[in-house]
Amino acid sequence: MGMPLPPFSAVLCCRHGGNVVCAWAVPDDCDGLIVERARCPNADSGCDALPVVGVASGGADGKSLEDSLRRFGSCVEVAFGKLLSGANMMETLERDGLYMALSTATAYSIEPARAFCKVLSTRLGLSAALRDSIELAVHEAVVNGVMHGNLEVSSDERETFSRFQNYCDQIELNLADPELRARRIEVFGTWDEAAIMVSVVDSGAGYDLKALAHNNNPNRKSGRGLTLIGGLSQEVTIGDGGRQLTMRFDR
Amino acid sequence: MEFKIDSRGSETLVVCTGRMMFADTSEFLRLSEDIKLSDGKVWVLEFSDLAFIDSAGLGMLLMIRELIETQSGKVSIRGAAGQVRKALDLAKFQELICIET
Repeated sequence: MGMPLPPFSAVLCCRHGGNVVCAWAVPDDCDGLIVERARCPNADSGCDALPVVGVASGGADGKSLEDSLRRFGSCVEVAFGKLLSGANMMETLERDGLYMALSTATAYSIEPARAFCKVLSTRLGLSAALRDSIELAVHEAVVNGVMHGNLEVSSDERETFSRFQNYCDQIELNLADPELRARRIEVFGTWDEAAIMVSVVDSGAGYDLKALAHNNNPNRKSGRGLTLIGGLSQEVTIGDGGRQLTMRFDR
Repeated sequence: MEFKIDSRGSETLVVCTGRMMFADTSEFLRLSEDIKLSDGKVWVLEFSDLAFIDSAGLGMLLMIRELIETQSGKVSIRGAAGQVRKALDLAKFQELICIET
């Protein structure tokens, strides 16, 4: 017998021809609540209820991630028995933004930035050029967070053929580590009429941006991700000790 | 990403399709093995049907260039457009590899 559930307060919506539970007030001492629905009852723009969160369990593929983002504005993975939602979820959803929180294993195996930008582009009617720029920049930030942050794999091994196999082996080894593969990566975006802000937050040890920016050897085989991000966005800020990277794209 | 090697006269064409990214390590190793086994000297990376490339893909291109040059060959990129062309330009690859216009 488990611990007794804390009391919940429910919000009922009766705008759609019947009483529908459309939100829960979650007590502070509750770790998480998983809600699965066939459709979002908050379609009515007058509804005051909090947004519904899309939850994917057992890993998400690119299509289910995109579907969840399109329908709910969010996708939170339940991985290894843990709901991966992070501190940035509610603020993003309250601003009608897009939010996803995935495990490292899932983020490595699908293309989160592609699904994120597809939905972002549909919502905002972005030009192909701006969408391409945002997709590549977000992709680079996600890869940095997954590989260097969460999986703790160094790119130094990619510099020569003789060491490249070591690099591949290290990825496989670290992806098999239960602690590393379950680490969370968050991607979230909000916007106004002038700009789109997208942030990527990993769960690694963080890094020093100044130390990375010094490698300007034109023939280097790695370390171009931040250069691309800088060229594709109008502003880049690093926060949370190097775990959070935020990009601004002017519309 | 997928690739196909096609010899056309003096050129050896590597036709790349799809998305060249960080996770394409096994395809990259397979391509490098094929290059090592070939006696081609003029290599063209055909990118007309390549839709996306990331910084890891750019790094792999430089490793391919080094491998071909080690075998006394030359390499160029043909047909890059859209996002792929933009990534090459941002990374100033025109200073590193011949990019045909």
